Formats: sequence, structure tokens, C-alpha cells
Amino acid sequence: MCRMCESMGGGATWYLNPKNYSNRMYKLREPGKGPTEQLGNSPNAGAAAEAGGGMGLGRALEAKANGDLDTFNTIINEMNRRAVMRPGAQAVPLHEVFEVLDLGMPVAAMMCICRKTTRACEECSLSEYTCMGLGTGMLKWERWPERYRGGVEFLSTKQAKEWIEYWDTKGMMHLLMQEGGDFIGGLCNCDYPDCIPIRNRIDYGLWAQLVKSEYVCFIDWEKCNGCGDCLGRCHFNALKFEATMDKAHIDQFQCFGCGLCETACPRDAISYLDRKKMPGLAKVW
Amino acid sequence: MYPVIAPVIKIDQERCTTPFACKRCLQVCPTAVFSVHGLKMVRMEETEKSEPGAYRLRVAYRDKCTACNRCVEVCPADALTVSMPEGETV
Repeated sequence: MCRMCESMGGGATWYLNPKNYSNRMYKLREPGKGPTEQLGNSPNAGAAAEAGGGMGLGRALEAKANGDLDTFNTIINEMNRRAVMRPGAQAVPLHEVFEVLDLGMPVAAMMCICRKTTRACEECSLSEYTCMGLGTGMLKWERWPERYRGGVEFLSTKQAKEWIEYWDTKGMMHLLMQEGGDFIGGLCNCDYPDCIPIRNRIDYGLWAQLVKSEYVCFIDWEKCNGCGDCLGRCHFNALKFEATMDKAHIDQFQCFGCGLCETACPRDAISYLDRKKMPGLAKVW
Repeated sequence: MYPVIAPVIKIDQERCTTPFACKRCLQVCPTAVFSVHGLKMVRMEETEKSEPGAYRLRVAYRDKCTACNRCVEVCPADALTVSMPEGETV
């Protein structure tokens, strides 16, 4: 991928380019046309598409449930082929979430639409909200109270950082939501199985719904003493314990670079490697 | 991956009228098979979750069903049945 960084990064990581948070991102409509309220453009369309993956994933999963893996694979491959250039979300480690929060305003905490869909969760206050809307689009939230069920709370940058850090401590990883478009729509605190992009990626191989972060985590075995504080935080089956070595171990091809293990390590034994600078991993998104 | 025939989950939509308010099956399922969708999207209005028919329960990830029957047990309206497809033996 990194079409995002090439076309929108301005020489850097695309989500650290302040331009991508500007008002113009919300003005890309056909000339002369106002916002339409048909399903395709409704604020709920994203959730509906995520939940069913459009019609495609629904048909694929029905085939899989009936034991027809050929049809399942054909549909998944076709969905992947079409989505290559339109990623849905990207994992972002906590320290870069803080940079994003310094760039994007306004910041509004709200309920997670995936959790509403998969677990019927109702999040009604800041201590329950797990999702975050970013950018001027959030100022119009009151038009669609059902989409933002439970209300939203606008946060200062400092409050937002504390709130995100709280969920990081609880073991939630962070996703920057692009929703297939060229703009940054939000930042979610996610886990398996509630999060639909995580689930669609790791269970069904819809890789463009969730691409890996710009980093890969690395454990320095000189510093790791095998305490195991990081274990159990990985949502991607990348983190294991090597009993014979008495050290934690990361499978770097499985690693999404979300950094949950890094933020849990009391000895700073885990660090981030730049994915792009590692020839064997540079194209593993 | 090798082919596995998944159980069939039937939802009686006449009986399951307020799934978002009830949410028992959605939260009890060990593999999170279900999803719930709002059918009403009205500008400037929050949908009343106890309004019959405002939300619809769906089996989104049937391939993950283990037929543990926990959803059938918790359903207060007896709206769910889980069975293996005809001809499939357990």
C-alpha cells in the first residue's frame, strides 16, 4: 500500500500531514449537489457496509458456512482486489495517536458503531465511549442522533489523550478510520471480536479493511526478563511466550505494530521498527 | 482452511421484535455470531429501542456458530432455533 503516504503524506506518514484534517475533506461533493439521504450516503451506510461487508461478505460467509470454500475464496479475492486502493482503517500506536490528536480538531468521544452492531452495546458517557470522531464533520452530529446514539462529548486535546491512554491501559488498540475514503474520519479503540475491521481481517482475510501500522514491534531479549506483562494484550496472535528461552516472542509477520505490548512493558524491552525500512516487511501490510 | 458445514440459526422475526433493547443473545454468544441493525434512520431523531421492528437481529457470522445453544436458552421470546442442516450428522 502506502498509496496513502505517496498521495497524501507530503513526504511523510499520511496521517501526520495536517492537510488531511482540513475542512476540504468534507467538501468533496459533486458540484451543485447537496448531501443526499439515500442509503449509500447516509451516516449509517458505513456501519451497514462494515457489518455485512456490503453484499459481498454476506454471500462469502454463507458459502463458507455451507462448506463451499471455492465460492468463499473467489468472493474474498474479488473484494480484496477491488479494495486494494481503498483501505478502511489503519493501526496506529499510542505515541502517534498523541501526534494525531495534536493535529486534528475537534475531537469528540462517542459510542462505537461496531460494538453497537455486534454486541448491542450502548455507550452513553465518557467513561463508556470507546470511539472518537475527528474533524469538522463531528460538528454536525446532532443531525443524526441515531448514528451517534448515547450522544457525543467534545474533548480538549489533553482530555482526549488521557481518555485514549485509559483504553490503551485496558488493552484496546487504536485504529485510524478512513472508511475507504481519502480522509481521516475517526480514531477507534478496538478489540477482537467486537471490532468489525479486525474481525474481517483476521478471520476472513479482508486485508484492506484493516492495514498494519507503519511499525513492527521488536523485543530486545537483553532487556526482556520474561515477566509476561505484555502477554494477552495482542489481538493478532503475534505475541507468544518462548518457555525454553523464558522470553516473550513476537512473530513480526503477524504483528500489526499496534504497540499494545510496547505500552505494557515495564522494562522498555519492546521498541518500534520502521516497517518501510525493513525489506522483508516493507510490503507486508 | 477445510470445508466445515455450520449449524443453521433461525430467527423468528415475529417473536424477536426488540433485539437492541433485549440484546441477550448478542452478548451471550461466545463467538459473537449475531449482529443487530437499525432499520430506522430518521434525521434529528433517536430511535426508540423498545419500538417493535425498529431494529432487526441478523446472523452475521454463521460460520462461527458452534451450536452451543446458549442463545436459545437466554432468548425470552423463544425466537431462536439452532440445528444442523438436513442430512448432516453430529
